[in-house]
Amino acid sequence: MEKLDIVGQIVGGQVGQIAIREKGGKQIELGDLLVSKEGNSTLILQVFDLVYGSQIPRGTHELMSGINLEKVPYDAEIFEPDLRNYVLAFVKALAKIDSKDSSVAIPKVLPPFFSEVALVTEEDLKFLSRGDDSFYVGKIRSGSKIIDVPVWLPSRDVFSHHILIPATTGRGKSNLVKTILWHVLNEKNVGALVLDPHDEYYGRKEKGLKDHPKAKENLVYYTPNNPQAGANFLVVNLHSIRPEHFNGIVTFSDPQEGAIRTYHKVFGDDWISAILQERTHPNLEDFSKNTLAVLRRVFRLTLGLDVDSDGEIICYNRIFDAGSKGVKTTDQIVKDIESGKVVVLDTSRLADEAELIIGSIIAGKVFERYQNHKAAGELEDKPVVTVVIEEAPRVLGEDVLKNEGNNIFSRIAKEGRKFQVGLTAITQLSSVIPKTILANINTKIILGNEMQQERSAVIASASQDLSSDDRNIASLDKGEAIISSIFVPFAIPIKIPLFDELINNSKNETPKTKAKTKVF
Amino acid sequence: MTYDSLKSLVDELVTKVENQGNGTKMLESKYFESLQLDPANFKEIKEITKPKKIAYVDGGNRELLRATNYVVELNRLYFSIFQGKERITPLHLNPRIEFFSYVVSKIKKSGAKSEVFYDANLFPYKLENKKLLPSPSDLSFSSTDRTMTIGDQRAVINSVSAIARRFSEKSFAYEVVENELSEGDILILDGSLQNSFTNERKYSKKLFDAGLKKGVIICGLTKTSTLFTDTGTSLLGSVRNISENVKFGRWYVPVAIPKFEDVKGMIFVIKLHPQSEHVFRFEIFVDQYNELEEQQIDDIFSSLASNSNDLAMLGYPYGLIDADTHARVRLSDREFYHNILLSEISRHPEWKKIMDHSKTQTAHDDLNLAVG
Amino acid sequence: MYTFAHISDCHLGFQKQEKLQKIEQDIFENALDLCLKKKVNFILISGDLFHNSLPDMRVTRYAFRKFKELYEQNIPIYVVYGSHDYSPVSNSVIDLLTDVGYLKKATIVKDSENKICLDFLEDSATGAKIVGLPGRTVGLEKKYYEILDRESLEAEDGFKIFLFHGGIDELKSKATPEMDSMPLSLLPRSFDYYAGGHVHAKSIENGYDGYGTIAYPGTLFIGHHSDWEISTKRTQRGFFIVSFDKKIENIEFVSLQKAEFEFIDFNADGMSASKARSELEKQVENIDPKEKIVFIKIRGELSSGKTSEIDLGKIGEHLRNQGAIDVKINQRQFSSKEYSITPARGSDRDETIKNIFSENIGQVKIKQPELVGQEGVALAQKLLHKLKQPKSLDEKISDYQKRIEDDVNQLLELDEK
Repeated sequence: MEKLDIVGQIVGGQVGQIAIREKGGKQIELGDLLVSKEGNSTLILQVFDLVYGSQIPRGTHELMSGINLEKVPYDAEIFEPDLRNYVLAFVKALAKIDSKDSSVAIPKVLPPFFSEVALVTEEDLKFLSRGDDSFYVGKIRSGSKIIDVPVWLPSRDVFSHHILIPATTGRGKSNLVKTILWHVLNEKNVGALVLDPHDEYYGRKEKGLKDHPKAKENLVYYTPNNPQAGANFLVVNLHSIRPEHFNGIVTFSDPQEGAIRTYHKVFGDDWISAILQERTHPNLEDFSKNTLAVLRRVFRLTLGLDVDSDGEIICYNRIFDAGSKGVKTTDQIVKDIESGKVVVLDTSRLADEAELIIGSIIAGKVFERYQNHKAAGELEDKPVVTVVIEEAPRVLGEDVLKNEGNNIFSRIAKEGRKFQVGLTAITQLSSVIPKTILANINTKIILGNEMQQERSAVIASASQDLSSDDRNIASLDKGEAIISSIFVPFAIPIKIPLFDELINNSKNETPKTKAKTKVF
Repeated sequence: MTYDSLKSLVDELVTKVENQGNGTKMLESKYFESLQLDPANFKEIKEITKPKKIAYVDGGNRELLRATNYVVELNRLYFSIFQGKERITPLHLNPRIEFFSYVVSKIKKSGAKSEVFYDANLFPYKLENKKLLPSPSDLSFSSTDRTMTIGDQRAVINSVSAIARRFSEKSFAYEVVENELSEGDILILDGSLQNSFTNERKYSKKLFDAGLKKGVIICGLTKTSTLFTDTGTSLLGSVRNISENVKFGRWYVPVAIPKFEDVKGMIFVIKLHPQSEHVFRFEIFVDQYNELEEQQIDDIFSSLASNSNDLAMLGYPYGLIDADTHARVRLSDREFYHNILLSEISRHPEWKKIMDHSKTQTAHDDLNLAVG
Repeated sequence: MYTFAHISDCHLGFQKQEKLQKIEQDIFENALDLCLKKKVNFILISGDLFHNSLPDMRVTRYAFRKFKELYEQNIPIYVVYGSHDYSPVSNSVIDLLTDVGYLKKATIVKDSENKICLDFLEDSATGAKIVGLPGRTVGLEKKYYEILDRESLEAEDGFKIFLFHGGIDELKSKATPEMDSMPLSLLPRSFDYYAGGHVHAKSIENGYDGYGTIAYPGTLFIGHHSDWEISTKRTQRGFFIVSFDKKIENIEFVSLQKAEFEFIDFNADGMSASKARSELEKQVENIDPKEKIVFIKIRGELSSGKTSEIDLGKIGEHLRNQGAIDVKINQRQFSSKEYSITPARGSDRDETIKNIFSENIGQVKIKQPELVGQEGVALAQKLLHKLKQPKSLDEKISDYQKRIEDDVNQLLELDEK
């Protein structure tokens, strides 16, 4: 390996756990990508563990340390420390790249014993090309070093096969989602519904998606809270809510369900108002006052609805309307998503259930429409859709599904792929999501997670063998991630760019034009 | 009840050893003139600012296949050069040589009497190293050679392997002296300078002559010793006890002067680190020793001590630790080469001949397997 | 207390048929007469006063005549262009009327270099401050709003009216046909009254943070083909009279109804062409079209035959002969059957059946929600299951038939009749 920066040499191990002795002073890092050239191919290896190696017994080290620490006047040392004490890096082979045609294969043989290894370079990774219709997630990362090789994922495939973003707080989830959506905004081949419970994506007061050059055409923002110019008031008419929208989100008892069904049958779309206003009808059965009172309480707690002294329905969160406001809101949102726009809903003022109900209405409509598109043979012409949902266990958690039954989100997770409708699920707790759902999510962008149980759940369902990456994942810093997907040749370590930098680069690329506008 | 008998044993043993005391000198023999073991004779080993260059030579071997009538072994020879704690890169020689050896028995008739002889041959891994190794003609021994036998029993065949390795070490040491060292440097063999076996003298002489010619001091260091004092106690143990009355932590004391043709080592007992519990037998080629000034002798020991501060084995020269590490043939090496050897044998049309004989020596191993 | 009238989307010149043209003119003149009668302080017209920028002379003449009356009574009329009557070179009839002083354009642009900076018109009698932006085709007016200097408009004191012509996302209703629209947030805040146009259905909305009353009076008569059906359903047409002082005190809708309608909503779904024809003819015979505008909506999917087998032209002629002012026919949702089944697979028979239903349910265009989507799939599966029930050995055929029918009726919640 001429002119390469050799960092170590293979000294043993086995498949999946090759031992490399680190060359003195080279400081191999966890997660480093190394290459071993062999004939016409390059083997890419990744470090998943680092241990101390020594020719000297441990007791001797401890004694030496004791002499140093306790300042014992002991004329003794360890001779040739660099030769006898070293670091062993344990690596696994990720991919074998053919030098001629850059084809990628899974390595099935061990690299030659005593092969020298070097740090990966851009040249080694040039096989990772950008395909058509793809979105950017970051640059290749080797340890903590960034290699200037961008990673693009195929939009249609990845979004329709669902994405999981598992991470604990402060690891850069929001930055990642913003980065993904930023690139989605470039084109109209992906429609996105983003439920934003922290109102952090649009950028009301700070930089956000609104700063994208194509935000005007491709971004729609709904907020109940003083929308900036160009943003929409989030108002949803009660007529948009059907009983099934509560499925899997709010649990009702049998009598309550019965009452709901009946009121819906009798009053149609006006059923919620009818319950709230205690309307009567000859076709209505006699329901227990308690049942109806409980339902009214549920509507108050989940949707913020109540009745004032004049008998008029009011909404504390100003989002739901019983009158004429917001009649077409959900339809418009669906239309926008279907035309490839990114629709961000500021749900920061909503209770969890209300957020999910709104999400359920819209996602349900989108799903239904895409089912129809498929039946009509039009699916190919439609943008793929993704529903971005935070704290995914609220709708995908094992307990939730068991106690409250399936909901539209779990349906999408299980069946959406056929209809080009996917989920982008963000969660701190992957372990509570059923394995069957996790297995269906074919792309996982894994951020740092210090909880061992969570790492195990993600590792167990990953598209590549990440069984030796537990430490790697635990040591991921903010903005570092590993992409495990059926659409990448191996689990790719990446560094996600800072969103602010993306915006700045974008500003540099698009010069402002100054023209007078003719107003007729 | 078991413990009672052990207790009695210990009591009696300790009494008998105690009664031996330290002795006053090494047990007299025809090979040495023994010197008094007196604290006054202990010389301090002082620090040295510019230690001499020391080359350490060691060898290792392990059996690959054995029968009553043949044995195949893997051998290694290694040298390193240090100056104080700094390693010196060799200029010409490859520090390590590997070679395979076989010893095979043959019958020689002397009149009506038939005698078992053992012939050995050496096969270096790299052909160019052949010239560094002893000649096969020097590796033919009678099974009744007194330098090899124990009691009345015929010498076992693998003792020839050990001899072949020992000759090889001296032959290799000669090459080291010739190619890597210069005047004032020191060469230390792992083991005694004594000639113990038939034909060994030739290789020792070659080495000594080279040392004399180039001014390289030839020495030997033995980790263990079976030498006795005049009271029957161990020499090294007695010297260690006596040294408790000596105020310096590093010292050397001469204990015997050689007076026999095949015994060329001026014997010392040395302690190279105050915190070490070890003392060693050390020999300096007597012809060189006799020509050395006192300061020069001190410098030998000081240089050696400056290489003996490694914590892995305090008070033992690091160069010999290094040499041992690289010369040693490990069990894993044995397994590896054993399989290759068997593979080669199996290719041979006469393979059965070889393997049938080896079964005569594997019964013990089979028994071990059987009983666990 | 002051008052103003808010009129919109007159679309003068839309009608081609003489009798309808007369109605159109009568309604317009009636509206302005009412404004005179009620002595409003000023009138707002939020676009599409005319159906195009240069209507025919007949329309122009009566418009001029009427506006002159108001001008002579010192009732100013503030207008903005609509999506139909604007002119990029100020050659619209609106500009003629503005030049002679009968109308005042509320769009006064101070600057449009980086941002569009507008000046207010102040109504001399009331002190109301009026400003507005015109409409454009296909929602192009949205560009104006994106670079509008809202801050200066919002900072202005006093009673403010914003005149605009365009759809607002948040205010769309079921009756609103698909149209380009913009978010409410693009309009400047802190105005007391937002006089909207372009949307032909009447609506008044309050309660949006930072925004006063947002009102669309709707079209006076008919401004678009889709208005026919809405008008036949007794939708009120007219304009607003708004009372104000420092703030809005009252909004009164003044209804104008100058025509009567008959509406036939014919669902041909599942019928053969011949049956659909005979049924439609029966319904036509059941109405009295004299002096009315008849609107026929024919929809659904024929089970056999072609849609052209129903001679709608002949039906229309018949109705005119019966004295109908005019006949309008909407057959956009009328079609004949042609579909194919998309196959699907599953791990077992039941899953295969479910998947086939799921894949193809989208072709079924029915309104009832329980018959489409996943509910429809589930119902279809249950129905299939019911229909597959075998006859028992000792069961008569007639009993078996009845049993199946009862089961199916129960499943589909159909009454016995």
